[in-house]
Parts: sequence; structure tokens; C-alpha cells
Amino acid sequence: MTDTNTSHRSFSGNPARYRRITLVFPLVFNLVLYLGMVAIIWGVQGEDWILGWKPLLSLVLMSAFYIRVAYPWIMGLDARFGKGSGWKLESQSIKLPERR
Amino acid sequence: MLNSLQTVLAPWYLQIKFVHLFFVGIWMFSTSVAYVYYLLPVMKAWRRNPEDTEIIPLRNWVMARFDEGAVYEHVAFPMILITGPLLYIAGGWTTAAAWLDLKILIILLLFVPMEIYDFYLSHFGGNKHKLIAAGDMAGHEQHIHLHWWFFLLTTPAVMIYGVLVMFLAVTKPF
Repeated sequence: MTDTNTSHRSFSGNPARYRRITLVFPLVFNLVLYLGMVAIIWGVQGEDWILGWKPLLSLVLMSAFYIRVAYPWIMGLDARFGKGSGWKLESQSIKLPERR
Repeated sequence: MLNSLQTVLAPWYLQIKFVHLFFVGIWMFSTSVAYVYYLLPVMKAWRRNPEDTEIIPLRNWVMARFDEGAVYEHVAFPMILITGPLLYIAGGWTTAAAWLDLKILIILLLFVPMEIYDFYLSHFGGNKHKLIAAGDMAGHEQHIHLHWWFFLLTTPAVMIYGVLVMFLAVTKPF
């Protein structure tokens, strides 16, 4: 497992792709969730509150919250900024344990 | 059929709920310390220094260990999928409970596909230990990258929608 004979290739993630994904995903996913709820509440239960302004506002707010939070979150995870930026790397020779 | 099953299960509702919550806890939190304090620091170091020949073996090791550590999570998830429907039947729930409809939609549309792919990455074709053992270094590197993509994209989704699912289950707001 500690073999360094790894086939090198650069990681395909970049800020532009993260931005696109964090914009598109919540909009599409929350819309699908809403349509699913409309199918159940309005289609099956026959109740029309799901077509009112409150569920639609929830959909918009949830999407806005996700877009606001997810992009910096992913950028932080991918070491583009945030926690860990001050770490330094010190060379060490260690043995890594492996289960047989 | 459902009525007779409900008659059998109803007296055990709280016991089934206990088992359900027990496995939800394992599913949500069993990998959290390893992820935040072991995997993430190494992956961040790799992303900052992608060619570093000392970090790459550590990255490979931590990913392989994480694959194995995910076993707890991946035993828990099927148990949740078994006990959830049992609770639905035992409790006599219907689609009239809108909070439950939303919760089930989130689980079916987000968490189930996500976990199927996670099963693949951790234990089947994407298992890092197996790929190295097979000498497939290109495949290993490819699946490290895929797994990192998976972590990047699912971390906010799991936290935001996972907390929402827990909130819905506890407060039953509508």
C-alpha cells in the first residue's frame, strides 16, 4: 500500500467546476423534491397547501442557503482556502501498518 | 397483508425505533473522526503538493484504511433501510404525514444513490486495496480521484440534508 509507483495524473476538480455544481445541484435537487411533494400531497392526498407560497419560499431559501454554504465548503475541503492553510510539511520516514 | 403485518409489528414500534436510531447514529457518525482528523489533513496536503512522493503513499494508505473503516457505515445503512419501512408499517403511517414524505424523498433520491456509489468505491470495483493488490496502479489512481470527488460533493449534501432529515424526524413540523 505504501508503494509510490502510482500512476500520476492531475485531479480534475477546480473552482469553476465546484461553482457550477454547487449552483446546479441544489436548484435541480430541490425542484425534484418539490415536484415529488406536489405529486404526493396534491396528487395523492388531494391537499393544495403544497401549491401555496410557503413551500415555494422554502424551496428558494433552501437552494439559496445551499449555494451560499456549499461552494466555500468544497473549496475548503479541497485545500483552496480555509483551515489547514498554515500547516507545514516535515519530511519523515515512517512505516505504515497494514492488515494482512 | 399490510394490516396483518401492522398488527404483528405495532407492539414492537418503540423497539424497532430504537434499532433504527441506533443504526442511524452509526451511519451518520461512525466515520466522522477518521474523516475530519485523519483523511482530510492528508488529502489537503496531497491537493497542495500533488507530486510529493512522501505524501502519495500516506494518501494511498489513509484512503485504503478509510475504505475498510466505512464497513460500519455500510452495515448500518441497509439496517436503516430495513427498519425504516418496518416503522412505517408498524406506526400506521401514510402519505398524509408530509414531513415523512419529504424525509423519504430525500433518502430515496439522495442518500440511497450516494450510498450505492460509496459501496462501489469502498468495497467493490473502487476498493483501493484490491486495486493495488491487482497491480492496477492507473485504476487505483483513478479511483482515488473519484473517491475524492465523491467526498467533495457529498460532504455539504450529507451535512445539510442529513441534518434536515433528523430535524424532520424529531420535530415532525408539518
